[in-house]
Amino acid sequence: MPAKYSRIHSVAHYFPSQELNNDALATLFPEWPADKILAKTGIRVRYVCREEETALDLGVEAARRLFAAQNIEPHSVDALLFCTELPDYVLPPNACLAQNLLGLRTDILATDYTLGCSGYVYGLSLAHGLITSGQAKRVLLITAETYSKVLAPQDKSVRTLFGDAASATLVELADQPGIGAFSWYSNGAGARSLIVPQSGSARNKAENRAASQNAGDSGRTAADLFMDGPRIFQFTLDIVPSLLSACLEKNALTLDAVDAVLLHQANKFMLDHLAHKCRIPAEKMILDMEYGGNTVSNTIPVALSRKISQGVLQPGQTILLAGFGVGLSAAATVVKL
Amino acid sequence: MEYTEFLRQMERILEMEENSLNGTEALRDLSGWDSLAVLGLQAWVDATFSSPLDVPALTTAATLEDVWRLISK
Repeated sequence: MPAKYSRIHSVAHYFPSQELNNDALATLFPEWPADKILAKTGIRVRYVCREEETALDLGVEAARRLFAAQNIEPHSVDALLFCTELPDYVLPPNACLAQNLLGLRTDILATDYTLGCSGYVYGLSLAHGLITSGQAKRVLLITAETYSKVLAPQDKSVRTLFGDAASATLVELADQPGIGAFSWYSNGAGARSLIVPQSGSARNKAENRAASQNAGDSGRTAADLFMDGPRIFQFTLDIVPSLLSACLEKNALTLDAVDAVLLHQANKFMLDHLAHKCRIPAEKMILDMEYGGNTVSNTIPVALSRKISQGVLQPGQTILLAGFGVGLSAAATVVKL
Repeated sequence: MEYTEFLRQMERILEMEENSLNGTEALRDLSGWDSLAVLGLQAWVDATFSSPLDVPALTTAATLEDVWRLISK
């Protein structure tokens, strides 16, 4: 039996229409002027969904844009993966709702999975596995996140970073390698560094009831996102360099052979330091957070979508991708466009 | 590394004028000591020293001297 390969066919993205710029944030947090927010985060504008707008709405719109732009026939999709941490319902899954809204066939696999900033690379792996094991020829991978719903209004450390967005990627069977080997990191010991304590079935456990303590002047409650920024930063400093090295080794590549490096767009400060630490040349390092911010599982596909549209990334190029965050978890792979 | 060199670096992280810190300052009295400054300190320690900054221990530091003791131990 000939080897089966997968590749990224196309990517699209969607931002909700409401904007949150640095001037508005500086009004809320006078100790952080707009120019300081831009200099430290690299973010000028975040897009925020309306109160009634959900991850399903954003994800379906991204998929519709993908189908329209690439003239993709919805019935050609064999599987749908939907990555979000804030699904519309505890049940049913967003993937089943999206299957119906997008007019996909009913004889397909459709499922959600819950991951944050590593979610896109994990999704590529799941899609790659479905294709190379012969279970699907075309997989629609949707990422959609609406962190604005769980950010405390006065918590400047997260409101300056996060924005809402969605992406849709079509992964398909290929006759040459497109998506390469993966490297992984999973460590639940760090789970409480990035958490919404009162958000699931564990909301009444003692540790989650007490989680609103030490919120300082952020106004954060246990139902809001808590991010221990220094611990998350240390986690990335500790694991991303070895994650990238392991991924390159698995793919029998060196950094010299890679055309671009696209890491999760957490913030400019973090990426600048990671680039220095990993010795990634500036011209290979993709920065794409100025308009949109940290959109969690969407930053990598949004950057792919925009940079391909702009001609910065081109067919035939080899891109090193890595996502890292909630879990704590991380994943890296190499894709050939 | 000398303590004075650490102070000059802290002035850069805290966006203060050179030679404005003498080391006795309490962290809570430094207006620039916020989450962004902590990230700046982490990045500098990561790039300069062989051991990473002990982030949990940093929460117990009250003065710049406490921070220096953490870094230099």
